[in-house]
Amino acid sequence: MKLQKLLIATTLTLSAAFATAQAQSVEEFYKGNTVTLMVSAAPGGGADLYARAFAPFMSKHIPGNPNVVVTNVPGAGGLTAAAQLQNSAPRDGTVIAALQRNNLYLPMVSAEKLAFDPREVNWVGSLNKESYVLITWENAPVKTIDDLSVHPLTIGSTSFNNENRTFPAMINDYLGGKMEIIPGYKGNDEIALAMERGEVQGRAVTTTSLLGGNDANWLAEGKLHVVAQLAMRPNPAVKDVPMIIDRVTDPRARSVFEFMFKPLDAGRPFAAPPAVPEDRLAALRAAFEAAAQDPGFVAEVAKQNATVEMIPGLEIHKILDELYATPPEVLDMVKKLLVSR
Amino acid sequence: MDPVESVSMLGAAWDALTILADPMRLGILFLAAFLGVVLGIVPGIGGLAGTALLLPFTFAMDPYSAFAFLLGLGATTSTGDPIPAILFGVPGGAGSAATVLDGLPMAKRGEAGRALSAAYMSSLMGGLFGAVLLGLSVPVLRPVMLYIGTPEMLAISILGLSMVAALSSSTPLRGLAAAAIGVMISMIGSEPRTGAFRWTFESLYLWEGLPLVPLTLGLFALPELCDMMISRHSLKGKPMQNVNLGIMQGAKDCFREWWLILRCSWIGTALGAIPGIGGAVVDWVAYAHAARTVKDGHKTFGKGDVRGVIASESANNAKEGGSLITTIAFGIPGSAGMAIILGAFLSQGLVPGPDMLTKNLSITYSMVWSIAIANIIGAGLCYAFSPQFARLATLRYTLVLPVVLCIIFIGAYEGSRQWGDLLTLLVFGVAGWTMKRLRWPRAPLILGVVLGDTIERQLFISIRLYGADWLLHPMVIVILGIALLGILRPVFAALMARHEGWNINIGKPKFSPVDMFPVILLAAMAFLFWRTAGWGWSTALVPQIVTGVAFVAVLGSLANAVFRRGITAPSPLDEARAEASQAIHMDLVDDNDGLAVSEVLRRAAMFAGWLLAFLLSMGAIGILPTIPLFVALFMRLEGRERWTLILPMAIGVTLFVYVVFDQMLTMNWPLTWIGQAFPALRFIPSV
Repeated sequence: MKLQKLLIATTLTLSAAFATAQAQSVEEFYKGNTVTLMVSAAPGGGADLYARAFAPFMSKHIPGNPNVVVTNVPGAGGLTAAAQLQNSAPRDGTVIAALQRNNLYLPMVSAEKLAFDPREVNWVGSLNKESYVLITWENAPVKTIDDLSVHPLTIGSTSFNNENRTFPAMINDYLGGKMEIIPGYKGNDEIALAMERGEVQGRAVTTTSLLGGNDANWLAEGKLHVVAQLAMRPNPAVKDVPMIIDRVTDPRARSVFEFMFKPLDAGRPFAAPPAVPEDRLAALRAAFEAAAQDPGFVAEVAKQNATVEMIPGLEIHKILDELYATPPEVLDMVKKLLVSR
Repeated sequence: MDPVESVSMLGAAWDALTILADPMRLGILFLAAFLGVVLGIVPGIGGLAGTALLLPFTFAMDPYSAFAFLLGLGATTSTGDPIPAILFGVPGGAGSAATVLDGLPMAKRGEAGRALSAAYMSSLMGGLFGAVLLGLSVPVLRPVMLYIGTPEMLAISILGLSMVAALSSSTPLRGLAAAAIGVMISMIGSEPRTGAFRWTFESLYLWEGLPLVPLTLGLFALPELCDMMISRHSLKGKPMQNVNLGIMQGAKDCFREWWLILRCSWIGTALGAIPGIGGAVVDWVAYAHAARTVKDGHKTFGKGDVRGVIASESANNAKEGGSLITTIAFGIPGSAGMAIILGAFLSQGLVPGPDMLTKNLSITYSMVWSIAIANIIGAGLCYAFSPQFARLATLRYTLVLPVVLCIIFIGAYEGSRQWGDLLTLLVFGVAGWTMKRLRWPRAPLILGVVLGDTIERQLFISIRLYGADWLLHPMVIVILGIALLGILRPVFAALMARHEGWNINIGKPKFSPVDMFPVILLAAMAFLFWRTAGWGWSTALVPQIVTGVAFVAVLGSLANAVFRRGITAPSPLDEARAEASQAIHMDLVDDNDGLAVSEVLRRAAMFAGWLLAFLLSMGAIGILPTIPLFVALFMRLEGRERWTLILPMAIGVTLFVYVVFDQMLTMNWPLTWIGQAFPALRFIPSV
C-alpha cells in the first residue's frame, strides 16, 4: 500500500498548496496557468471563429498572460456548455465559456427541465450587439413595412426557436402580418439560396449578415428590400428603415417584443462559472473589455466582415434582471411563441 | 459561354496552378497531405478535429496557402481511411465503412497488399475525378444549383435511401427493418419545425440527436474487434501474399475498372454536393450501385471482391470535390469538414457566392488544384509505407486490440465530447455485434440515420411550398423513377424466380434463443410508439409511420424464422437464409471457427467486460491514467506478453494520446470521481 500512502501524501501537500493559492495575487495565479475557453458551438462557423480569434487577445490582457486554449462543447443550442459551466467546471477562474444569447431566456420559458440558470453564472461580457432586419427579394409583394399586413409573404427560417422564426411570428401574432413562415432550412445560407431561386421570398436576418455577405452585394445591386428593423434601437447602418417596435401599440404586446429583443444586446455573451474568486473575476472582466477593444482584435474581426461592440459583463446581468422581472402574463405570451403547441 | 470568358477561365486555372507551384505553398500542401493521411488512419478522428485545430494557424496565411492547407488535409483523410478498414475491419472514417465489407475478407485471404493498393489507387482516381468535375463545373455551378430546389434535393435523398433495397438483397425484411430503425434514430432530438422534443427522455445529450461517429464506430468497429478477441488472432495465419506483387495487382485492378471508378466518382461528387448527406453514406450508395451493376456482383460482393473496395473508396475521395461545390457557390457546407473550410472563408474575408466565380476565380481554381495535388501526394505517401501497413495485419491480437480500443474510445468521445458518446458506442457495439452474428444487415441502418431526418425536413418544406405538386417537377419525376426501379427490380426478379417452385414452406412454430433479439426490438418499438402520444400531428407523423413499418418488418422476419426454422435453416445462426432468395448477404459473415456457441458468448462477454472496465476506470481516475493500466493489463492477462514489450507499448500509447488529444486538440475530458473527491489532483491531465 505504498502507492496509497504516496497518494495521500501528495493529496495533502497539494491541498496545502491549494489553500495558500488563495493568498496568491491574480497575476501569480494566472502566470504559467492555462485558461480554457469553452465554445458552445461546433468547430467552424461564426461563433467558433470569433472565439478562436479572440483567445490570443484574452491571453494578452489577463494579468500573468496565461495560455488560453479553445475547446468546443457543442450541443443543445449552447445549453450543454452552459450547464457544464454552471455545474461542473472548475470555479478557480481557469474556465470561461462563449455561450449563446438564447441561453439568457430559454431556461425561463422552456417546458423541459434545464440544469442551467443564467443568473447563477458570472457574465464576463459580450462581443457585439446584434440587431435583425426583415428582408425580401426584389419581386416580392411585400416591399415596405406597410405591405406586411396587406400582402402575403413566404419566408424561410431555420428552426422553431431561432430568432429568424420567432421575430416574424410575433409580427404575425400581434401586428396582423400575413407571413407564411417555413422552418426547417439548414442554416442561413440555405435560406439565402432558397430566396435567390425563388422558393421563398424573404427572411429575417442579422444586420451583421446583411452588411457582410452576399446580402451586401444584393443590397447594393438593389435586389433586396429591407422592410423593417427588428430590434430595440435603430442600427445606424440602416437608419432609414422603419422600426417594427414603433408599430406596436398594445402595451402587453410591446412587452413581448421587448422580452424577445432585449437579449440581442448581449449578442455573443461570455460567462465564468459561479463562485469564482472576486479578484480573478474582476481581472477576467477587465481583460475581456481590454481584449475586445484591442486594435489587433478589431482588425482581425473587420477582416472577417464583422464588427465588435463590447458590452461589459455587468450590463448582461442588468439585461437578465429586466428579463426576470417580466410579469407572468407576458411570460405566458412569450411561452406561446416559443413552446410548440 | 463566349470565347473571351472561357479563355479567362483557363487563364484563371493556369494562374492558380502557378501560384500554388510556389515551393512554400507546395510544402504546406505536402505537410497537410501527410497530416491528413495520419488522421485518416486513426479511427473516428477523421479530418474534422484536425482541420478545426489547424484553422487558427491559417489566419496568418494568404488565401491560397490557407485553402491548400485545409483542403489538402481534408482531402487526404479519406485516402488514409481504408487502411484500418481493410486491416482490422475498423473504418478510419464514416466514409469507408463499406470498404470493410470486401477489404477485410481480402486481407483475411492474405491479399491485404492488393486491397490496400486498390484502395489508394481508386482513392487517387476518385479524388482526381472529383476535382476535375469540380473544375469543369465551375462556370455552370450557380445556374445548375439554382435549378435544384428543395423538392429535387428531397428526391435525391430518397434515391439514396432506396439503396437499402440493394444493400439488403438477401434479407429484405430485415433490411427494411434496419432502415426504418435508422430513420427512427434520426428522429431523436429537438425537431426544427415545431421545436418539439422527440424521444429525448429529458436528456440534454439527445437534444441534437445521436452523433454519427460513436454510432458508426459501435456498429462497425466494435463487432470486428470483438470477433478478433473471439478468434484470438487478428487475421488468419495464412501465408502473406507477396506484398509488392499485391500492390501491382491492386493498381492494375483499378485501371481495369476505370469505368466503375468513373461512375462511383460521379456518385460521390453528386452526393457530396447535397448538404446533409455529406460523407457518411456516399460509400454505401456507390457500393450498392456497384454490387448491382458489375458482372456477377451479386454473387461475389461481400466476399472479398476488389471491386467493392474500389467502388467505396473512389466515391469516398470524390465527395470532397462535390461538397466544395455548394460551399464555394453558396456558402452552404456539404459536410462537417466543409463547415470549417467555410470558417476559413470568413477569416480570409472572402464571401462564398458569385464573387468566387468571378473576382476570386483564381482562388477557386487553386482549391481545385489543392484537392487534386493533395490526392496525388496522399496516395504516394500511402504507397511508400504500404509494406509496413500490410505487415500490421500480421500482428498478434493482444498488440492490436488494446491500442485500437483506446483510440476508438477517444474517437467516439470526439462525437460530442460527453459521456453519452461512450454509452452510444457501447449500445451500438452490442447491437452491431448481435446484428452481425444473426445476419441483420447493418448498412441500411446507417442510411436511415443519415437520411431520415433530412428527408422529413425536405418533405415538409416541399409540401408547405408546393403541396403535392412537388412530385410533378421534371427532375423529381426522373430521380424518383430511378429509385422506384431500383426497389422494384429485385422484387420482380424474386417473383420470377419463385414462379417455378412456388411452395410456401410453413412448418410448426419452432422457437430459438436468437428470437430474443427481434422480441427485444419489438418491445422497444412498442414503448417508443407509446411515447409519441401527445405529440403534435406534424411532429408525430413520420416517427409513427416508420415505427409502424419497423414493427411490421421485424414481426415478419420473426414469423419467417419461427415458422420456417424446422424446414430450411440448418443452424440457428443461419436464420437469414430462410427469408428467401439465394442472393448474397451484403454484410460480413463470421463463422465460429469451430468454437462452441457457449465459448463464443463467453469470449464476447469478456470483451464487453474489458470495455466496461475501461469506462468505469475512466470515470473514476480519468482517461489518461486508465490507458496505460488498460493496455498493460490487457496484454498481460490476455496474451501473457512480456513486460519488456508491455511497458513501451503502454507508455507509448499514453504519450501519444497525451500529446495529440490532451495538448494539441485540447479535449474537454469528462469529470472524474477522483477529481471531484480530491480537486487538488486535477493537475494530472484528464482527471
